[in-house]
Amino acid sequence: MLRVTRRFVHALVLLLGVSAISFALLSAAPGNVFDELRLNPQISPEAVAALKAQFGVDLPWPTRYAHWLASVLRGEFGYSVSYRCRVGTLLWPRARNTLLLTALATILAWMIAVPWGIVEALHRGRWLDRLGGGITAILLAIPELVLVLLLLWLAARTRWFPTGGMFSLGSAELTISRKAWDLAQHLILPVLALALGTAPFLIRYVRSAISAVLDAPFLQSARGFGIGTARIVYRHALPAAANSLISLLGFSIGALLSTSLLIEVVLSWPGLGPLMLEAMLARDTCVVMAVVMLSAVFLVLGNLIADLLLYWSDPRIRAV
Amino acid sequence: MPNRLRTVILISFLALLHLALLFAGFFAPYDFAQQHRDLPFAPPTRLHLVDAAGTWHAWPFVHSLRANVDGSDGYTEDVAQAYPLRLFVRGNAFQIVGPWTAHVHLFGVASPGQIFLFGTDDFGRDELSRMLFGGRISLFAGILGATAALSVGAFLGVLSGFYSGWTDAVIMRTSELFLALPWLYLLFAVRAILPLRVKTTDAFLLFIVVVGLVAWARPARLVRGIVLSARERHFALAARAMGASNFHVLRYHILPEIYVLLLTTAALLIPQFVLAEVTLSFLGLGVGEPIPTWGNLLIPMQKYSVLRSYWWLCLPAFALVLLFLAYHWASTTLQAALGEVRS
Amino acid sequence: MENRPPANGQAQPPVLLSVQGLSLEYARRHAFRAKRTETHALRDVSFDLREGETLALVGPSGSGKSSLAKCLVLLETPSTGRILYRGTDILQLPPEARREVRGEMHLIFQDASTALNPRWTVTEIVREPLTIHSKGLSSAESTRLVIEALEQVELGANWHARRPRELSGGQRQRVALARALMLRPKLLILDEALASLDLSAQGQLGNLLLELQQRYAMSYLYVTHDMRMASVLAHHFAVLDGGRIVPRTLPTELIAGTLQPVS
Ligand SMILES: Nc1ncnc2c1ncn2[C@@H]1O[C@H](COP(=O)(O)OP(=O)(O)OP(=O)(O)O)[C@@H](O)[C@H]1O
Ligand SMILES: [Mg+2]
Repeated sequence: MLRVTRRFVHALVLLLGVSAISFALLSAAPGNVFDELRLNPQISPEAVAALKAQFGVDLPWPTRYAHWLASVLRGEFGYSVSYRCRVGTLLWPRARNTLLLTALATILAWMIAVPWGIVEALHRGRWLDRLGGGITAILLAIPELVLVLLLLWLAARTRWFPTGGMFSLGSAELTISRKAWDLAQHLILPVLALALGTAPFLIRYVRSAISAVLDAPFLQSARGFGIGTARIVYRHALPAAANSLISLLGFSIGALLSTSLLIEVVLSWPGLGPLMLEAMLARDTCVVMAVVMLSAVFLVLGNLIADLLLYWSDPRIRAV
Repeated sequence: MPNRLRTVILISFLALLHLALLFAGFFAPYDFAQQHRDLPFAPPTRLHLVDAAGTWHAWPFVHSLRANVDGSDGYTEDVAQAYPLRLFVRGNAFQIVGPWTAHVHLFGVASPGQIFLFGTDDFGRDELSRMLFGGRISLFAGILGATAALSVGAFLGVLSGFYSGWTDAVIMRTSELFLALPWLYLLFAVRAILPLRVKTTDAFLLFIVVVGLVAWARPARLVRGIVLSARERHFALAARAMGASNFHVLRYHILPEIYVLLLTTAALLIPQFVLAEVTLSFLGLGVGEPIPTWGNLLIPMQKYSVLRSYWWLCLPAFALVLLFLAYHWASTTLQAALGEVRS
Repeated sequence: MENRPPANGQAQPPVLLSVQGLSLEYARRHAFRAKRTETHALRDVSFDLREGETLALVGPSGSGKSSLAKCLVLLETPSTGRILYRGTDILQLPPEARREVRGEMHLIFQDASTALNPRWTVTEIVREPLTIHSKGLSSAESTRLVIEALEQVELGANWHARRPRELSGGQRQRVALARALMLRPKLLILDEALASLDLSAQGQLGNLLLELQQRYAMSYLYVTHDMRMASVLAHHFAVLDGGRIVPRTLPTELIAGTLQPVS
């Protein structure tokens, strides 16, 4: 239990550190949202000055950081000048959409990777493994950006599924079930791109983890006793490889979040990615800050969960 | 395939790719900004060996293009005009390195003939030339970023592994801060700190160096691991026991262990930073028109019309994949070689 | 426990090394626990070693022999105690003076296969002490010294360009010995340095050690399991057990070298 609390405290301190550094650096960035507002002829210079005073942009950064932290604790994450609302209200639906995407993609990627990796491991050195290895090598070399552009091309050619957004136009009037169907169709392209981007990496890892276990002496002797392959894989190899696979889960979340940022922008999926890009262009520091912090929270949480899973699954670690 | 042959193929391929990009001006028949206003979206020029009369020629030639007479999109070849392919032709001046310029291009055709092996874009600019010049910037970005990340990472990693105690603690805790952000978010966060509008390519490359400096954490941790184990090797301890200075132990017993690691890490980092450039320029946060990079050359691929009718504008994506394949292959080969050396 | 007659007849030679009340703990910190576990490798160890004499250090596995050897060349820092070398406590020395002292003592590690840098050739390995203490020798001169040292341990010219991986265990041990002899140390600490050699090689190198001791008045701390070899080489015995020097008389047959090893 002590270990769990320690990990929590560690994660919190880590996030605090990240936020302090990003805040300090972003405050030092040239240009701010008010410079962009000043270019807007509809807003008078007096109004801009009043806004500046209201948001205390001229205060030193530790003071502003303290204000910001207080606002985070209230769940507000500061005020977005360009969207004219609390960042919190802006953030949650976007975060939900990103999470929906990454969660589905994680599940799909693992559903592809585990069986594929196992099959490759069982056929090591034979043609099936070579073929699979070749495909993963090529997929691994295709950057996600190109992958999603290729999928976009496929979608444009075949018109099988929509090429962007989350819902079709006018979907607001649809019934719940039709809306869900619409959403599912819009999900296909981004989830597929994300999963295909991550899966080859996972496949490699699963393959080597399972191979390592299959080569272990205890399984060699189990084979010697004539225990069937399927039984060996499900009863022995998978549980034994579970540790390294769980650590990989934490790691893959970081990769997925990164890829998702790009794919959301290209496919105009209303997640954190486009929000961050727009906020960057508008120099809306509070929003950029909030998105960066949220991505850190997801990554740190993912690693924390993987760590706890590891703790729960491996009696050796619990014993320490 | 025997291992050695494979390595030779890999190395020559990588060398060719890098030479072609480095000396883009020589391999490209046109300047990247040269427009042929009358020939937008021209398809790749075909090389012929047989002329309209059906006679064979020993040397390839091209025909000039004319817009379709019926007013529809597209071009037809004007078979009356044939221009043989020429090697080492004089053309536009281009910059080699710094102040040195040259005029000779690898290939071309006599004017008024034109040769666009990869077609042209909406301004009638030669896609092949743009790909070569663009690749040069992308590759430079990759190498610069990787160098920055590796040098800072190696320095801090050695420091951290060699002087354990609070130096180590501070460096490692800091690296955790940098690893707490997903890579692209980190890239964007750094980009958000820098001025939004990039004026020159040099300024952008400077950005990439900044991004590289921020990516030090992972190489630093790898290097630290190696230094920690090398430091405790008995031969390092033996040297210490003989009175060797820290410098001697580092220089002779520890650093040789990390060189190979740095090489394999470079093979992984260079594509990553090429991708950083590509991503930023693709999203309009990097180098903009008229200067091409592999990032902004991908922008047209978002357009339905391009995907449907002008497939040659998708070729930059394939160039990117080719570069990535070569680097992945290089890194696996290096790692395999490393494994052999270890065992 | 006397064995060989004193080195210089009746007159006692001066004390070279005096170890007083040395204790060493290895601490292991746990990732997620505040508590540390400690191994007491050495507890209050004291002994003297005189110039030109050999002290054989015997003891069961894990008794702290290697730990003691590492303390003496300052690779481990003891928690208490003093190590007096010619009367000065080397634990208190400033770095530059430490370097000087370290040039005068040399530790030959228990496992020669890990004590030699695998990237280097035999010549480069043996030359390293000269590089470290940059004696201002010309390269021809240092090459001559290297060849001389290698000849002393009977490694001919055809081995000089090899790397440790291409040598047998015994040959590696000789390379380590040759390296140790380069700086003509006053104190040589041999941590089971002859253990992996065959009997005739052990005899040869044993003779070499005796001869060097005669000529240069070197002192040896000879860590070993092999009582017979020790009885030939050593003037004194010390038995280490559980990190302590235990007062124990050794069976006389053993000292006389008449006890045959059980086969
Ligand atoms: N680096 C270390 N960290 C923690 N404990 C150690 C370390 N080195 C040795 N020990 C412990 O210290 C004790 C003494 O070890 P040492 O290597 O000195 O034994 P030894 O007498 O040389 O044994 P052997 O005859 O097998 O070489 C042992 O219990 C060992 O486990
Ligand atoms: Mg020992």
